[in-house]
Amino acid sequence: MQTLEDLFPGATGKLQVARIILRYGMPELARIRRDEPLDRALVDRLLACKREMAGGAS
Amino acid sequence: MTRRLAALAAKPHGRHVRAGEPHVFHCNHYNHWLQSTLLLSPQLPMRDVIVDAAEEVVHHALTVAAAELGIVGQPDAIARVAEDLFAELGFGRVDLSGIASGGGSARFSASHYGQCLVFPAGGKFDEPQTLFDRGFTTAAAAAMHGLPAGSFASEHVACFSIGDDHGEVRVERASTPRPIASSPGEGRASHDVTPPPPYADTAVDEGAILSALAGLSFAGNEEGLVPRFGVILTHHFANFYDRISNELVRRMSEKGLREPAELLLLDAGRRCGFHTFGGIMSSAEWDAVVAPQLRMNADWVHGMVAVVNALGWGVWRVTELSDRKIVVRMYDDYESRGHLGAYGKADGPICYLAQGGVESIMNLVFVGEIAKRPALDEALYDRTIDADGAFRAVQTKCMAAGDPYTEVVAER
Repeated sequence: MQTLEDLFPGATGKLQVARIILRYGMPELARIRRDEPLDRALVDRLLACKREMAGGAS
Repeated sequence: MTRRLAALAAKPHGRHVRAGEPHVFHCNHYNHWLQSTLLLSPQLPMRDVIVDAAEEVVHHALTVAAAELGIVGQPDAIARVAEDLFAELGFGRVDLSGIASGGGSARFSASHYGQCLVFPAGGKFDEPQTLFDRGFTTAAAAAMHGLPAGSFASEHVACFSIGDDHGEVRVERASTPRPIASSPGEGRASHDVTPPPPYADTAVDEGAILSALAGLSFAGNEEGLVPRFGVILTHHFANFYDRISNELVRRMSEKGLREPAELLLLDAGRRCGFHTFGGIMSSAEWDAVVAPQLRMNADWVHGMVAVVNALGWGVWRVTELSDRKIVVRMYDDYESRGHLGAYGKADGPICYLAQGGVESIMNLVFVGEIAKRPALDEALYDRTIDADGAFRAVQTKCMAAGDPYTEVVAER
């Protein structure tokens, strides 16, 4: 099982999560502990968000 | 190049005020990261907030300037002053001659928001980034014709940031003015406190640095841009930054998301510090003015803080410094003054730029080893905040929340 810390490590990772919360309207992420196991569907969604946000300026 | 402008006043505690509006220096990196943070959420109408914040401060400034210069009721003269102000502050070049009392178009041959945000963003944008330019145009149109702020609606016709070869904003007289907040002007302080003298145990002479910087021009060039220190500066409206930052926090707090909003505002401040301070500490101006005074790493911090005190941000004083910790007190910081003026007393710390700025100075000096002139790129930025020995800043006092000064502590 993966955690937020696995997907978004370190201080830069915390910033990425904050951006995803605002960009994709996912306030539930703010209540998930960094070391809490995530379900598969959420992991897939977060990885898709990460890929999209790495796409550059908008 | 002569521009007709209201006088720029040097106010106590390093504040710069022109036509009733306080000004602070910020670069294209901060302007990009702050704006991109505000525009992250499609659910929040932050594009309108940015346009209206620009209109709030510019309308106030032009109204005061028109009175000061004796041109009230003279639309063409006010338009020329507005064009000169836009260029002087580093926002670019605008031609307002196409605007009449019923509306028209402003054409931009250069634009900070249109052309200079693409560098930190890494490329063109999908949506126009010249929201400030839109607000500037609606404010100018209203001020030219003696109308209240909010009297004109606006839309982008062209924008450099999406690949056009110029900028254009069309404005049209609204049937009913939309409400625009009143500028808090100079804002206010919570206490009448005199800053202590600069840190004594250093070879850095802050007074000499401030005198040397006062001899440099930071006015917009022929294009109305201010390329300095490897970044592109604006002498921006402090109340604009305060309004848009506080509105983001207020709106996100209503959704229970204050913490991520504050984290991202702090990061915008950190990026400002990384690029602007990093650029300053790598510049020819630094080499000429500050570098001869530097004996040890700590002096780099004191030298940078001395330069900060020329930016219009208030007075920064280092009260404790080691290679593991810094304590900086800020007197009359612009974030607090703006909050107190516009919103009243804050319920907690609100100085996000200050926190990010202090953290970035320490990370640049002690983690990024700025003395060795590293490239100020994204890889170094990530390294300076992810490193095991990276500094983390906490705001321990806030003038906006009732303390006599603002205090930021950064430790590792």
